[in-house]
Amino acid sequence: MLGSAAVAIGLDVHKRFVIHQFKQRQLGCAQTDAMLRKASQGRGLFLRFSGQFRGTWKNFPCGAYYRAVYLLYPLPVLVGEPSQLINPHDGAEQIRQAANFDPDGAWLLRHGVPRELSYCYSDSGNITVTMQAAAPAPAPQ
Amino acid sequence: MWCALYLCCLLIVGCGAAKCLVRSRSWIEWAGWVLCLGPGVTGLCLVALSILGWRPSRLAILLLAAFFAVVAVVVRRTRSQESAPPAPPAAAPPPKWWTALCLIAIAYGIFVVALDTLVYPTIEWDAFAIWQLKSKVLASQPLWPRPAYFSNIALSFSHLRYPVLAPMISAGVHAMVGRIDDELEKAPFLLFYLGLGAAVYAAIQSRRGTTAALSATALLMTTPLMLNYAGSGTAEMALTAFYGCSIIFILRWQERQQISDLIAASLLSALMIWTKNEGYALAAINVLAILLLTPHPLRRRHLLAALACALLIAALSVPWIWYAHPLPRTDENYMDRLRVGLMLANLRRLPLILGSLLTEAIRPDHWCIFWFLLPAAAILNRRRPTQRPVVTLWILLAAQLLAYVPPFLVVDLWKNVKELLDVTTGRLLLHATPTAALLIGLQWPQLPRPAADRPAPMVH
Repeated sequence: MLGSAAVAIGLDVHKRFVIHQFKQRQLGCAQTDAMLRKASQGRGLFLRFSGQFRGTWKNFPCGAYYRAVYLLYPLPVLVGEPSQLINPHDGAEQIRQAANFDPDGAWLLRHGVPRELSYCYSDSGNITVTMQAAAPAPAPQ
Repeated sequence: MWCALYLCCLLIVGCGAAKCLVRSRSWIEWAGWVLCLGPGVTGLCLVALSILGWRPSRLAILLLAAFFAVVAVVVRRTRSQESAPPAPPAAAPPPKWWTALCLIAIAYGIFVVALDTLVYPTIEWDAFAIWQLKSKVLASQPLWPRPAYFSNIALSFSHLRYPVLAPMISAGVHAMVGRIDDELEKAPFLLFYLGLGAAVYAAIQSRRGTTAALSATALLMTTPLMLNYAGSGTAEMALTAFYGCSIIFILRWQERQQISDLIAASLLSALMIWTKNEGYALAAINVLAILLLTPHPLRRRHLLAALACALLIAALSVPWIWYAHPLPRTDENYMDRLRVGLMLANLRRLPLILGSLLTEAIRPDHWCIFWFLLPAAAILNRRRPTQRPVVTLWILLAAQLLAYVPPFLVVDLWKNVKELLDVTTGRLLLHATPTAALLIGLQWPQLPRPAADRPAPMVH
């Protein structure tokens, strides 16, 4: 019994204070949070994901979307049409399919997400991040 | 400061609720009930107010605490204290070094869970994607009229139909602090961790002595998965605490046949239903245990007791069933799919499900040898006469693990059942840890007390 408790505590100490697993996750979340807040600037946000997220980045689009919704609530966060179903068991695939959706500035403004944050995954494994404000459609001549 | 005040309010509510429901035999047992009932009853009251159209607010929480403080004082004046139970016969006190090591282990557990709940932000995936997102929704708007969140299918990943008690407890933090606070929203879950430890300790100590109680509690509170989830901000710790306390009250009901124990078990069962969908199965198991595992199950009094228990659970749970019924069914819909025909058609999944549960139980990085100690304690205890609490706990443990099998037989939306098993079996076993810890504690091998230390026999 003592051995079990000692090993349990040892594993936890190793995870938290030696390899800093929790700290790394916190830093990762903090970086993502900072990016999301900077992109949002207090307004609704549209997330774009392009490229084939693979390997350790496979679930990144899901995680970023869920994190954005949580962090920025009650501001709206969209990855596609508001009626786009994103459910827990298929979220990654649904977000990947939503990548084909390319709304213009007028659509973004109409749906309350005037800010955009784009994550582009390249074949070399790098992620390029761009943020911009939605431009309204030019007035007809 | 406001968060600390909120935690105090939870404790005051817990004092009032515990004073009404139970008579405690020791201060540790009392602390266990207060720590577990306080957040649960507060959350339930805030949910009730929210359904009536009032979102959580500082004033509402303070008024609740004031009300339960008055209740605690009134009940204290009108009810006599229960006398302390006799010490377990011939139970040797633990050696000082053993006590010190157990307390160090428990202290480490409290330290890391306190770090997770009070210092670190919410980083666990399910915590921010599901439970704490809901806490922000509930802090911002009342449950009636229904917030747009509950019909927004783009947010289906957060399981729109999951019960709302744990998020409401966190929403109380936001309400008290006066803003959405991503770091302190998990603070109330520290109380569940402490309360479960205290309740399990007291339940074992009164039946088997301090050595068994300290050892089992230290094991329970330091299992790796418990340390991982207790302060994560998910609903697992709340459900585990409610279930652990409910089975302790069922054991008390068996021993003493006091109505107050039955009411407490029923309240905790209803709180489980408000916490996670697994609560439905656990509450049903509790009702069956009250019906079938009492000394004389067919006596009219006991049949009526089980019926009253079921009715109380139903009465407290119906508002959530009514509220959740029209919500979009965009994620797993286990309730509608739990049909015998479907389960039989998918029986080929049974080896995979049982294999996953077994594989999870022997994972050293999740459990060390916690689950191995259970059969070991049973083997060491085999020569002792059969004890009702031990048999009851074995039946409850088996029933709980079996009750978790049917959803995996009928699940449809996940492409790969193994993937679902891999992400859920750890948490399902976590819910069973209080039962296992009680079993380990009640079957702990006892060294006889030296003859010189035993109390002198009474001479009439």
